[in-house]
Amino acid sequence: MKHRCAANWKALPENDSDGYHLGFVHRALFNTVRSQYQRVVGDERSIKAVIRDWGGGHIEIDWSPGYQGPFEWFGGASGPLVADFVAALECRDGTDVARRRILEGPAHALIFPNLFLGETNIAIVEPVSVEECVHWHTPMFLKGVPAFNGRLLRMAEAGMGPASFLMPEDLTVASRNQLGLHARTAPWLELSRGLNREAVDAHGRTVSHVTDETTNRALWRHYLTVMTDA
Amino acid sequence: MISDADYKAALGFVYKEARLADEARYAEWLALWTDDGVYWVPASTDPAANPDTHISHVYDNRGRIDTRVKLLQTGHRYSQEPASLMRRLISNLEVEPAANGELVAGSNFVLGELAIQAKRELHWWVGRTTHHLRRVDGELRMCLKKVVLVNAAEPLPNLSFLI
Repeated sequence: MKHRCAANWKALPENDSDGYHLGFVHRALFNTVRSQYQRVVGDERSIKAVIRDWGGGHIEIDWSPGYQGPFEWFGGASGPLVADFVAALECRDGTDVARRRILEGPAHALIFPNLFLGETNIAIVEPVSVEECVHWHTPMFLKGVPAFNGRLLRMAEAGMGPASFLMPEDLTVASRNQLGLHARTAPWLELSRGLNREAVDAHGRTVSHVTDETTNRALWRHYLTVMTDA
Repeated sequence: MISDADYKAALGFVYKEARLADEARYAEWLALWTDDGVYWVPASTDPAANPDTHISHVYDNRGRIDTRVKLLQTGHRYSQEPASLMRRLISNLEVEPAANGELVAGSNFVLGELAIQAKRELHWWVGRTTHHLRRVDGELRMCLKKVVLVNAAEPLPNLSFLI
């Protein structure tokens, strides 16, 4: 699936791994249906999801601290097919690893500069010209579990692509921002949110509240580094 | 063969459905669906494309059609806020009878969409629509709307209006 956007390509990797815009940009969806993203909007103090700077421009949103049960990332899937999947996973990986995986779900992360691991989708951003790019994505099917494919297809259609319930808003805002960048009166955009509360974890990764601009800073800082060295 | 009356009824339905979509008259458009309606915009021009195995731009059951319309009605669906200005031309209508007295109406369309939400670009959408129509309480309703864009598999701009 390919989605065309009238913005510089760098706007989309930044958007894909930004936790601050959700409550505003996707308000139509959150006001209409329940989804796993419900846990990251509303009162900031009640939001447990975090963002991580892995270094090298690689950045992540980790929703899992806010999940209260398995498969929230999978639309709360349940039933005999899911039970069989869990049993097979426990058999292969052991109970502890399997339980952690079905709670946490697949990654929501950007591999610098343009590979987006979008939970149950994989996406890339293709630059076309200074002010045009294409967001490509495909749903990620689980090897050996074809029974989940239908659900994964419907989830992909709901979340990503030109007619979906999420990405059209992101790409509209990116296009509006691109027009805004033509303004000459505001030479700097401030990305300081969360500077006062970032922490470094045991692995040396900077971690902060999901609505902080830690990921945005990490992306642009690394972009500046690689472009300067060149 | 179908009767002239059925042909005219199908033509009238297809025109009306297009006008309500063009004018962002969401509640009236929603009322044209049967309770088991399916709204399908494949991401492929292959006639054999199967929505159970291949991704689509839209593959909405009735519940998701309702959600799609509710989003547009929130005033926060920014990709359609304000709504695109649209007009579509419809032609090449062919109507065939189907099982249980239903009608299958195929038609071509050209849709001009002024996407005024950001760069104010005029987008042209071209394709063929298939409506499966059923009489409910004496009125035609659609139980399937399938829209195959000629560029279904190409990079598309936002398609969050009702196509």
